[in-house]
Amino acid sequence: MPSFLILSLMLAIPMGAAFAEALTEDVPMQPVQVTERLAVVPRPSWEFGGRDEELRAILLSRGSGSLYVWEAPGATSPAAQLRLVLDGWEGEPDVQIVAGPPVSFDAGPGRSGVRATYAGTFPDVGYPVEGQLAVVEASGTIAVFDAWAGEGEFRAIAGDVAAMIRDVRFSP
Amino acid sequence: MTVAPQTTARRAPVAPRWRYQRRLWAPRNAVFWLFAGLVALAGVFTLVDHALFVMSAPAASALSWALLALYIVPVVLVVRALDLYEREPTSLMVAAFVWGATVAIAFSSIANVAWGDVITRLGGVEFSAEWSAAMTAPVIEEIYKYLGVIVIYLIARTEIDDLMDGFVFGALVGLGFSVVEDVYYFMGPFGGDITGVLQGFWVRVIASGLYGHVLYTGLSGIGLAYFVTHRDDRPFARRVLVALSLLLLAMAAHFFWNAPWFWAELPLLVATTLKGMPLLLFVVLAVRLARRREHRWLRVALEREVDRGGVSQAEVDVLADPGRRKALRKATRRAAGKDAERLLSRLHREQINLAMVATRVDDPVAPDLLKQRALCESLRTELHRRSFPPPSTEGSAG
Repeated sequence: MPSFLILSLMLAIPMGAAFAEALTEDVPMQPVQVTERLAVVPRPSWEFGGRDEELRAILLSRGSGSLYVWEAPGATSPAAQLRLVLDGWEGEPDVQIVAGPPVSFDAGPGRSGVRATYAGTFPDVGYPVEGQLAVVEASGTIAVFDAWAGEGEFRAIAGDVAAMIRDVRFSP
Repeated sequence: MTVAPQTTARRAPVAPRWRYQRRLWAPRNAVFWLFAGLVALAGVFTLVDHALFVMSAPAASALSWALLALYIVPVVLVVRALDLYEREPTSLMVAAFVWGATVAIAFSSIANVAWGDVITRLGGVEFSAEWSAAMTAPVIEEIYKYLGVIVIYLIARTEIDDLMDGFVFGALVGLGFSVVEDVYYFMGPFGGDITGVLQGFWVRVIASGLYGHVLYTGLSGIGLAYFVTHRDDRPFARRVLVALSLLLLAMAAHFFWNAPWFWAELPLLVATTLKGMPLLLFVVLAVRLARRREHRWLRVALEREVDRGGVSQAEVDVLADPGRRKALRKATRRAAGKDAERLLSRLHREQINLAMVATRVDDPVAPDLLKQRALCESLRTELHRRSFPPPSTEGSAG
């Protein structure tokens, strides 16, 4: 009898969580406010990694995948902003990257987007990465999405990243 | 129907019945098999994780364990030193550690993640990042560790016969949990390289090692020990209240530690002291009270033996006072040397064992008791001979 009670309690805790997860499955993920005009809706299983008030940015992560999102005030166009970020990286002596050509993509009604893939090494990441830099503009606000993961692992988060870019919320 | 006698424990403490030691091996007890099954299952889970650490970063993994050994050894020594009178069987102490290091941590990590997902869904990722650890771990981890102390009790009920026993087993469950959790942190959030392991050791062991799981489960273990050792002299409701209060206090302290308060605002050492010191002081107080109770018990048990050869009244007075015991050892060392001090230590140990034997048997001339008395007597004679050697007849006259 004591064994049964102990085992029951041990199993009840994760089973209770599974039940609660099933109950909350339809509750939509709550958006994370990046700035007053920009909010990102994380996909399930993504964790909040921190906020940089100065750069007006947030970091989300899942496993070895990360997504850094920030608002670029004063940017003129998505393509120009994309170029600006890539040039900034390429100008840093410790950064070694190879970037693909910028490609426009459908970011949703009333929005324009441009993105480029890249691969290489950054001094603050201890392993080679592959990633995607995407810039989306809506109502005069420009959001930058820098998503990366370890070499060969980006595809595991690509779908989530695309969904978070598609679902990004702009406030006028 | 027999009514449990209302003892006079509050005025004149009654010594517990220190019995022959039980071991972990109890094949006729279903709880033993539950323990064995769960340890095997969770052990595989934990070993696979650690094998991955070893394969991916062998040097950092080895350094993690080497550094944690520096933490494990003194904690075990302190716990053993506190458990002076009736030392718990090594197999049960190891079992408590293993429960914390395998079963408690494996089940907790699964449940923490699952409940963390629920919190994320309801509160959002930012709220979850700040509060999930405070909302899940204190309840989940404290329950799984507490179950370890319950399992040890159910395997060897007679081994938890005073409050200190609950503290000892609880602290060891907490230590096992803490050590394995530290390795996960060193190899995960701290980066899993040599620098990360050293940083992790600084943050989690040097700055925080005095507080944490050892204290939490030690405290809740005292509560469980109170519940099971006061069956005859405290009402059920009061025993439940004490046990539950101490478990909830452990959870509350764990919550306070995990809550985001102060971490960003204060330097690390100030924050850890502020968050951990109140519980440490409380546990030190609880342990002192439990030890004082043990000293009273020892006195009661030994006073029955006074003038029967094994112990004198003066020796009982010294044995029941750790300060006087230490001072006497020191004085003996100064007066008669290191060997005499060792002999005195052994005499004290055997006189404490005499108290244990005396509570085990009802017959004052039981063979075990006679044997133990004779051993104490012979040690005392030998000590006396060494401390006061007969005057030498060679070369001294003159």
